[in-house]
Amino acid sequence: MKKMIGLAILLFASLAQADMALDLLKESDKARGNLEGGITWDSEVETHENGNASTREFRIRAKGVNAVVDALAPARNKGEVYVFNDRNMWFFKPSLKKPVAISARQKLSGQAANGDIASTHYSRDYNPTLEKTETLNGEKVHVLMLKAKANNLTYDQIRYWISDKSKKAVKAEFLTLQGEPFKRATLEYDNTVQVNGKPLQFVSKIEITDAKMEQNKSIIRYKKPKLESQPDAIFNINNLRR
Amino acid sequence: MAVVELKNVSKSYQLGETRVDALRGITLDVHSGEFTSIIGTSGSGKSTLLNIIGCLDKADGGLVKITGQDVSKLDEESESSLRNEKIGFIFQSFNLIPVLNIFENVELPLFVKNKLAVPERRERVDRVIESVGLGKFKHHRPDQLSGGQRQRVAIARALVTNPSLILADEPTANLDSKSAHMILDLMADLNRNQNVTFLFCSHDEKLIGRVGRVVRIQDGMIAE
Amino acid sequence: MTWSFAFRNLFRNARRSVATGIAILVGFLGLVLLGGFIFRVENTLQAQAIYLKYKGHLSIFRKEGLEKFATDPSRFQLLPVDVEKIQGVLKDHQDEIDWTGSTLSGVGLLSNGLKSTPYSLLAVDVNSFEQVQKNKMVRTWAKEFVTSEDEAYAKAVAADPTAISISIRLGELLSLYPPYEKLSEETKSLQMAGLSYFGDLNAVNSELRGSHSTGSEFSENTSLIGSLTLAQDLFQTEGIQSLIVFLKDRTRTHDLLASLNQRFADTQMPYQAYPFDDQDISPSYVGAKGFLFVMSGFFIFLICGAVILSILNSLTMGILERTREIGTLRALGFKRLQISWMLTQESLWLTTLASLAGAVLALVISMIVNQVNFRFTPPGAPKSIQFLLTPEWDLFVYSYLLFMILSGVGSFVMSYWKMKSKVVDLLSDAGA
Repeated sequence: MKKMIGLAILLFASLAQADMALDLLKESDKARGNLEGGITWDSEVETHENGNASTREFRIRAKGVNAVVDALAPARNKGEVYVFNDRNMWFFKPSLKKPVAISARQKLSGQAANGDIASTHYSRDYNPTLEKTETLNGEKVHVLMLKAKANNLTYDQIRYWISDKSKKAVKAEFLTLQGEPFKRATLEYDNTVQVNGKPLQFVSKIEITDAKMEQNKSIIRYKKPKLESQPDAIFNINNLRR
Repeated sequence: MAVVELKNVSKSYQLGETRVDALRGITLDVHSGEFTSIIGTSGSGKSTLLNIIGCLDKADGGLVKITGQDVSKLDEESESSLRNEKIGFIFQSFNLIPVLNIFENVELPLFVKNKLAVPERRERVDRVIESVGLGKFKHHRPDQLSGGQRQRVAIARALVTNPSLILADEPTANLDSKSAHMILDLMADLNRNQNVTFLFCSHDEKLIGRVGRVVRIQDGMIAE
Repeated sequence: MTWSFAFRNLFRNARRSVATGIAILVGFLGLVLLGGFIFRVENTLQAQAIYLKYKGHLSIFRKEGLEKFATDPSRFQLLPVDVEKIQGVLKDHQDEIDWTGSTLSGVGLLSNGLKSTPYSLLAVDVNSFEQVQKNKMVRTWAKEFVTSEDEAYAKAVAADPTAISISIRLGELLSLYPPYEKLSEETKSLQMAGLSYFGDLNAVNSELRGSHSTGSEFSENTSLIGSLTLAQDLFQTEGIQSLIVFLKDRTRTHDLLASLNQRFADTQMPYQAYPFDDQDISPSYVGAKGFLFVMSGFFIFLICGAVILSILNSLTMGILERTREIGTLRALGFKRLQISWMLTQESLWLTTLASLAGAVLALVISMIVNQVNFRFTPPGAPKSIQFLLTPEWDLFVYSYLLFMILSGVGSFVMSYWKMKSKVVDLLSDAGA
């Protein structure tokens, strides 16, 4: 009898923890673009790779699980478009007769993968478990282990540090299937968007670094985020075909 | 000058676990033009003596000179040269080459040094074959001839190099008595008319009357 | 006279001579036919490595480019200025060069508008496509690998640089099934995506105009062939990966290789030339050739061993039977060397007669086999080829010489050794 009560308590506790992890994740997604109704922002991706530096600029329009990313700069990339429909991703440019199906985990620029540029839906795409709670930069953070629900996601496993206070992700480690970190990221939230009249902190900078060669990194800066309704038609890949 | 000079020649060989002294202190001279027979029973050492004189075997001790040359120090090649130029052999079993015809068998020793021009060589072979009375048979093969005829071919072969000495080991042993006498007659004739020096060994006492000189050998020693 | 004597001696034991002769004949036949087979396979594999895989007799890369181009193409490519410098060096050997071409390789995704699948691209200049199709070595030795589709593709890519050829399995992954010419233009329009040398994702249109087989499980899912122009457009570069040099005379490959690399070193040019038979350039050719070499070496060893043993066995029996005759020859003044030579002449006669018979039989068997059209797939080849026996005159001559040397030396040594007995012992031998 005592054993059964003990087991029940454990089960309840783990379920409670799982709920908490998922709730934390859902909350953190909002600050990274996962908002109903539609949001727009500009991104600048500054890449340092093998001693070379380059910068690319994008305009992102996101709505729920869909997003459209237009390349703005440099000039050679202008006109290129990335379309995200749920977990499917496409690349298109005006010279192409048809769009190209691409993968979230492919390289966009430097350390940034295609899946990093648009909004994230980690709560939809990953199963979270709470690993531990610790202090990071004087702040209490919950360390979550996120395991991919499908194999076409950007990452297989992520170790995610979410602030207890702000409910936002402040650090991430991107892991291989074997659990080895190959990239690390830090996140900042200096932007604000108004959601239902209330201000919501929004991501302003993500710095992604190669775990083995720290001089190789990409910095994604998020500029001018604002809530904006988007027509569904812009997310329809068929509208891009010639 | 003696064609053959032997001084105190000895030869022994191993027969299983026994050591056999085949020759014991043989001293013998053979001069040019002699027609000599070495007579002895089986095992007396006569064949051994002939082999040493013919440089087919080496003596263990003593002096062996052939046409004045000490053969004990000669190497294999020099011995071969000496045999080819100075000594002719007639064997008991004729030892003709079956795939060669008579002409070719007789011609064979001339190919060792190959000194003669072809016409000269041919002329010499023809002459020698005629001298043994086998002119009509020169294109026959040995198996087409009788025993006596084959031995005559062997004699011709021994003669073709104009040797200083012809050695014959039991030349008539494999012949019937008529053929044996014919061979002896031929050898005697050659000795008489062409001054060919013959030294042959035999166990046949009947030959004593046919030769110019008899050397008796017994238990490896010359019997007086 | 000794040659005549030796010839006549062959008939003293005709049965044994025939048996030994048959052993030599079979051995000769084996050598010549094996040699012919290997000659054919080797030429086919070379034609494939040099021409059909577009390696050329020589491939010239930027230094370290062979190893590092795949991971850092923008750094290890050859730019037009590099190509010009290399061509300047090649000018000194113009009379030896048939033509030069360019290659560029890369990986990416091939998309049909609905789904994508990875590809591995080999891009070649259009002239090389044309030249390879009509090359004499390809036409002679690898004509089975050049299908009408390959010819059609070469024509198509000459007219349209966006024309591509894909491996059949790659097509299946995109739900494309040959014959591709029956597909609609819309279906044949495919997009190739890849990382440009600026590090960005890029994509270009391509037109499906051909299919091919690679002969390798490993690459059959991803192989894509296209024009250099298409690849340069995709990767946004004017550069190439390697300059491929096709020579008029294959045997000049290594001499020219040494000369080029010496010149590059002397003038401190950052380039390196490699031959087509380098392990890193053509691993499947080198592997297959190594296998052929080992296999043929093994068989040659077996054949020669069997033949020489037959000859020596026959010779030994002959010597045993004729010991007294040998003693007689020694008594007559023949030296050991002379008698050994006489006995050796017998072996040489037998080898010659048996080899001649073997040569005739080889020609007859080849004619029959070549009519039947047996087929087999050499290691690393994309499809089967006809089992052709092509005994060349060189093979006949070398095999004959090999056997003559083996039989001559073996017989001479054996007979010389066997005659080391004293003359008196030889004469008293009763014979075998």
